[in-house]
Amino acid sequence: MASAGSGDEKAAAAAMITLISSDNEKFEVTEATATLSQTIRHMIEDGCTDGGVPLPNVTSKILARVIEYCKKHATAAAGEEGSSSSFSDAAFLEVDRAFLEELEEFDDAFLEVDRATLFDLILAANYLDIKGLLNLTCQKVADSVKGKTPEQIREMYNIVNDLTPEEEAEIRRETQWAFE
Amino acid sequence: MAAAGLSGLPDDLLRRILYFAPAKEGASTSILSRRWRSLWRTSGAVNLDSRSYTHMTNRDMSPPLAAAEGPLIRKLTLRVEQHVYESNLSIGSYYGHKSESMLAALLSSSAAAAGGGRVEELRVVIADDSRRDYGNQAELHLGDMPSTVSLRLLHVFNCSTLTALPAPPAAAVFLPRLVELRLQRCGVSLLDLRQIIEGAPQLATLHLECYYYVTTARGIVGNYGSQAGRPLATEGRRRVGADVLRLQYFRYKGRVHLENRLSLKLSPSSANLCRTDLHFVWEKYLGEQVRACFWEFIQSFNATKFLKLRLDFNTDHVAVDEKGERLLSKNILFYNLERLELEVPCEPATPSKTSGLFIANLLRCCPVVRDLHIKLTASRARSNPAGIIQARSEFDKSIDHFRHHRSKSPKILLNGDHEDENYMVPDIPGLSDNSFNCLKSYLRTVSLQCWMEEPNCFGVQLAKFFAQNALVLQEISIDDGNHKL
Repeated sequence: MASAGSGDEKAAAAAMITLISSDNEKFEVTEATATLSQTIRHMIEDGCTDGGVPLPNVTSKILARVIEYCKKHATAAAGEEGSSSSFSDAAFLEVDRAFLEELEEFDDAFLEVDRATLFDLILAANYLDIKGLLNLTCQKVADSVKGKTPEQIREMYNIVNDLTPEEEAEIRRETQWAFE
Repeated sequence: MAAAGLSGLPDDLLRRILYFAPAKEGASTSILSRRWRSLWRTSGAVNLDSRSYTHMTNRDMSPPLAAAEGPLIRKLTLRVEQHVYESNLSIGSYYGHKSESMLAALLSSSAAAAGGGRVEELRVVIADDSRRDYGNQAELHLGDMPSTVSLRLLHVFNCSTLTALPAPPAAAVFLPRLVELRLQRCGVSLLDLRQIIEGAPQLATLHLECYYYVTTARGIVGNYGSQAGRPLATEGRRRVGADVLRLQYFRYKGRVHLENRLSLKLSPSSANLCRTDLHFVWEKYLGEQVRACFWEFIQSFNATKFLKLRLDFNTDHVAVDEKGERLLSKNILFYNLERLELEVPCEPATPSKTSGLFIANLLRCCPVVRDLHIKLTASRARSNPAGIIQARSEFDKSIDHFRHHRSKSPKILLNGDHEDENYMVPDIPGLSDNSFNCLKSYLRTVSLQCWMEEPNCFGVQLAKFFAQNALVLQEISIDDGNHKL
């Protein structure tokens, strides 16, 4: 995968982690990138990452995207890691507006995916416990219901209405304000 | 894959999605299917958004709050994109008729209060017509209420009146968990602001970008334009100080010269303060007091490690010459400052004589600065290709000199022994005739952003000055919009 191979090899030399997707593809990433995932961070802390980290719930296609996200966002948090340098504070603080704008652009482009991929990303972000990615992807789905009627939402997401007419009437009565 | 879809997600994740959805649409999902029936009201957020309504009124605010499961609510947001003063969305108004305040409606709602106050995030964004430069009628009272106890983040955008009502008892910690406070385009009295800040001892991020600070009685709405001429009542020219002991990040945009200023008292060690962004805007009455106010203002942040300073007006108003040295002799010392970013206006053709002086003033205050970024902004862009080429060659010369200089031993440099007789560095008033501690042993990187059109323009002079005088300089970069180095 192109996105997985083009890392910052110099900084990476110290600590590399191998992630293994459900379809047995291996991805080499830096520790800084991998630890955006709290799940992996805990594994590293427990010292059980030798021989690679199997991620049976994540396909290679989705893992590649997740790594792409983490690489970009790890740069933003770079200053927090490797605090041996006296410049760590300055490096962290350097993350200023221009960079945040770039990050936003990246996020927007990153979210240009079909719905199936978006849901897979949500599941992966949840499983790997990557808060930023989870919020980003959930927000994207939340935005899609803005200004939509329940009928439109049902159609958009193939949701089968299993409520009886009586139940439906009851909910409409209880939450009348939401249907005005 | 197609079988999965949205319905393939577990309930927790559907709630997470609804956590971000506007309340009206979110609540309407209860009718999608049996499974969705209770998801929104247990999502933990109520995001009121006027865009969900043809015209949102006060009456539209309570049903969502009542419908959500109170004890679970962590986040409340109110986003209004309509004219507040025309709508019934008010909020205790300018004209004095009493109606329940927006914030009270949000926070004191039985729903939010039922949980004993667990709301952690509160965002109020009044995004009505931003072209108007006078205040709207939005009024928020953030006082001593049970439901504010749990707040960690408070962000208010564009509220004409923000108060600390109901008044907390003196020195009460009524926002014990508040970590981040952002007030933008708000009107707030300094006394209220102090009460809010002092009521929040955990405050780490403070972002103030208020147009005006109402000076005296609570609830007086002042307009941006008329503030300067506003007669000041009882409190007079009083300064209000507030203790912010744990502040890490302070960002301010506004005027230098507030009739009544807020001075922030940081903890004696102030080891926490990392970053300070100060953006001073142009104001109509830039009197002589501005200079003193400016230095006094920035002095509050002398423990910061990173200072970003932006002026929208000429450095004439703040630079201090020898006669005014006593202003600086009051020991303004940024003893932790590692990085200084400076953005000042500077006409390419007629550089202000005080620009160099001002930079010198600052360098003297920053003995250990390592990184220096200077951006000279021009109000008019010109093009003079011949000038650019000539400036370029002058610039290349200074770079050559820098390279040359690096190969020499520092000892010779300290003696100021110039071998290149053809190389002339024009004096920059205030800079060239002084020595600076930071240049001797700390300053490692310099970056300049400026127009370089004239052969001897200020940007080129600065580049030369740093190339020659910064003894431990490792990197100098210049960006004039045309070429980068």
